[in-house]
Amino acid sequence: MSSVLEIKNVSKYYDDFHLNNISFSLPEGYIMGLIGPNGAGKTSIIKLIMNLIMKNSGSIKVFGKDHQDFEVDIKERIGFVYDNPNYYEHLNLKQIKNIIAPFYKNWDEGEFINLVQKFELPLNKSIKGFSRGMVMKGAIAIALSHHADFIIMDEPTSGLDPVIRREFLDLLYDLLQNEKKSILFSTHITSDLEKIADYITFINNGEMVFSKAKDEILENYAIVKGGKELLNGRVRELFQGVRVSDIGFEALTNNTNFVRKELSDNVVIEKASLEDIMYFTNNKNNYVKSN
Amino acid sequence: MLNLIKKDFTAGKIYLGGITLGIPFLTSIALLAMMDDFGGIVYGFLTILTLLLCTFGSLIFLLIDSSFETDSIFASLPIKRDSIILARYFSSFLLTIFYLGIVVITLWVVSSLSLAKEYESTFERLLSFRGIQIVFVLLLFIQAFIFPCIFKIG
Repeated sequence: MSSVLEIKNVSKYYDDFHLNNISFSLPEGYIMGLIGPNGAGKTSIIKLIMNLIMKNSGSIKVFGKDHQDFEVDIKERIGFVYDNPNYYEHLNLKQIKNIIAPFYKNWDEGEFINLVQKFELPLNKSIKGFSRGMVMKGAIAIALSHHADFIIMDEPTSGLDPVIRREFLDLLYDLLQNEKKSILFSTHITSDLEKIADYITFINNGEMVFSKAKDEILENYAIVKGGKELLNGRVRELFQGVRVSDIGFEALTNNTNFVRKELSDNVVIEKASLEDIMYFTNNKNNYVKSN
Repeated sequence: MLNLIKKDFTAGKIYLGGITLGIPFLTSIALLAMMDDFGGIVYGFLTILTLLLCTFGSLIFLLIDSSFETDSIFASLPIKRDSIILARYFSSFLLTIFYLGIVVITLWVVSSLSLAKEYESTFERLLSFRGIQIVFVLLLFIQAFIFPCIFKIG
């Protein structure tokens, strides 16, 4: 299976933040969610892929080509949505489209009009009068109107209210059902990905925690609940993160079968959500205490 | 490149309107205010005023893109970086010619007014091809230095 994106040992150093040795790949035709807490490095990774910032080491290939040597060819085939698209606010969507469309060889005016109608966006209202949801929908319409093979979205749902967010995800899901596009979608709202992602890459504090198929992750990880007395040193090592309260402990494991075999009679094992995985991994080295 | 230049003018057109109206107004006021005391310094003052108006006016595209932070959008499009920089120079260069044209037209209109008849020879000197050439070359020099500085700081 060929990869639409291959990142190998990429590092980027800022004064106060390092992105260390990131490696993952996305097979063609699949959706990958890039998750991690705020400030984990998700946006930096996306900016590196788009060559908006320079990497310090490593290699990035998009469609099998180096992302810097073939930047223009690659961007021709990418639909990109920023977390906060900055358009000229005094212009309307039609004017913005007229500015952006000529840069793409494969711009499809009919597709753009279809999406604008589907999203119920006004073409002649200035962007200043758009809500954040409308701006995001406009950005999506522009990103999907040049038959891009690879869609990259940086936190498209952050800052949207729950109703608009759900509506936005449904629209996105419907759109993607009919076409074979590859998608990289960063978010810290993990529930957005439970429905649509095939692969999950988890970044925490500039380090890659894992990059795996979503089903494999949800199969291997589990939440374990039990009494505090069970939590000795050996048992503690089975967990990725532990939260202790007066009534017991709650922990994340990535080895469900082993924990089930070892502790099954004394603990309750539940399916872990991506949010659980993110929360406990983020507090891996801490013994989180809750009252 | 042409699309980037067109983009600058499309995004800037409402602001350009204000500046286009402002330049003749400021030039006329400055000229009329100095009419009693025509001398060498007037040419110098008018040259400096023209340089300032045209230079600040030509930065309008840069200011618009900075205020809306739209650079990121264009950096994500299939455009070479060199083209983005070159287009910015070309747009500002075109705008400089446009503004200089407005200043020249303003001077010509004021000189044609009957109330300024006694200063005819002065206007002839102000509107001489050589005078315009000097201002134009100075403007190009200023832009050649100011843009790298702004790109470096920005």
